[in-house]
Amino acid sequence: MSQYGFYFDKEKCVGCRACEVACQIWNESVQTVKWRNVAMAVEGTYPQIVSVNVSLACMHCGDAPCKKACPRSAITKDEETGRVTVNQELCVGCMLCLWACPFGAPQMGIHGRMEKCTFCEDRPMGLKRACEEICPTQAIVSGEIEMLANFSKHNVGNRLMHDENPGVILGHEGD
Amino acid sequence: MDKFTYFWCLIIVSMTFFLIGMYRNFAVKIGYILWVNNSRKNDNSIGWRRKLSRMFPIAGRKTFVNEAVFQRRIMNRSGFLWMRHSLIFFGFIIIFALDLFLTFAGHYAHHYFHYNFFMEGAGKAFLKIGMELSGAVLFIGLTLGIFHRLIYARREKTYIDLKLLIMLWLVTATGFASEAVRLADQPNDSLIAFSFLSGPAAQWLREAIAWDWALLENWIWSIHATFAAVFFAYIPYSKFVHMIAAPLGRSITQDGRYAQQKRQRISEGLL
Repeated sequence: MSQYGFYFDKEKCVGCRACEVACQIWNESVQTVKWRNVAMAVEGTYPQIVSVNVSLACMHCGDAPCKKACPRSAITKDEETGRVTVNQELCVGCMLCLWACPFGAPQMGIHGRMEKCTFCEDRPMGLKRACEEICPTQAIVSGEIEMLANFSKHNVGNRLMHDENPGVILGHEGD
Repeated sequence: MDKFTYFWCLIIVSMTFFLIGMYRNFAVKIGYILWVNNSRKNDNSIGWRRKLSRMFPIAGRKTFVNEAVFQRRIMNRSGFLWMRHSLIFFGFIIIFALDLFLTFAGHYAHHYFHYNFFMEGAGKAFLKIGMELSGAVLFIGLTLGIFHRLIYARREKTYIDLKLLIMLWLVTATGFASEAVRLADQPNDSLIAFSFLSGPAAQWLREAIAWDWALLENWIWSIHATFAAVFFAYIPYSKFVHMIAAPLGRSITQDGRYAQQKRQRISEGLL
């Protein structure tokens, strides 16, 4: 089984919410509430101000708590891709999945059933997801989780070299 | 076999299935959610009160009233859906509570506590009116639900399980039929006037058909009891589980605001 997921870089996100819009447009036929949300936090007062934008959707967890919390077994994890989806026919809209989810991903749709990111179910897996494709700063990257882990290592290494100019060369496995 | 012996045998089997289902499909899930929410917290500095409130965010009274009692979310979707659901919800809750009370107060508790109020007095008349009224409300709600499901549900993308609606409709319909047949057999019942729906139906039955009403009452009552027992046993294994899970989940997640709080905590943690 492959486990697909998202990589999100908070340093790159500018909080434009294009990912939210792209997600809504691509999934227009099945989406009635926002599946992806950009949460913003600000601390301090001008000019000593720190802020962060975090684009959050379902993380399609390996051991999904929402799936275990559902009293109707309406949430399933796809064997091939690892994506976690809600079967609307079985869901009763009790919101226990939201209570269990650490990211607040499942949302109550207007039809009284839970909705969440489907990892753009109708897009072939080779293509970028809608949120990833639109992101102007490439803050969102999707793919297999091993690839994303390597990508993250590269990014952290590169950033450390660039920002801090340390007296060390960071190595990494693979190409 | 006496009909009450049959009833208690049914109840024991039905409640066994109900409790097993509630344990597997509800209690275990709630236990898991509490455990998983608690296991994520590695912050020992926040104190047990805050820890407990994060693990089990007890719903505010206003949220509970809005979400669990008046089901504001359904009202926001459609006035008709809300009315239909409210008729079923309030009808079911009230008839269930009154029936439970009547069973114990009218059939069993009087052996130990001596009273006449709920045996043949004003108390029983009140229970009769209450059950008749709530039963009618439930019946209307279920009938509207079935028609709506058959005619409009596909177009409106609602996900109502027709067979469950029909099952509860049968429980209610056989309840009324059982009371009407009982009154057809006992036309001199002192409280017949308080059965304002079953009473006239009983009179019509008595005048229209000549039958052994006592025997028929036994049969219809037993069918009603069987449908009711199957219904209760089926609750935790079907969409009926929302009767217990949805008020709890919706109150605790504060109609979704809980999601926003979680996301906000994550972004604050990354500051």
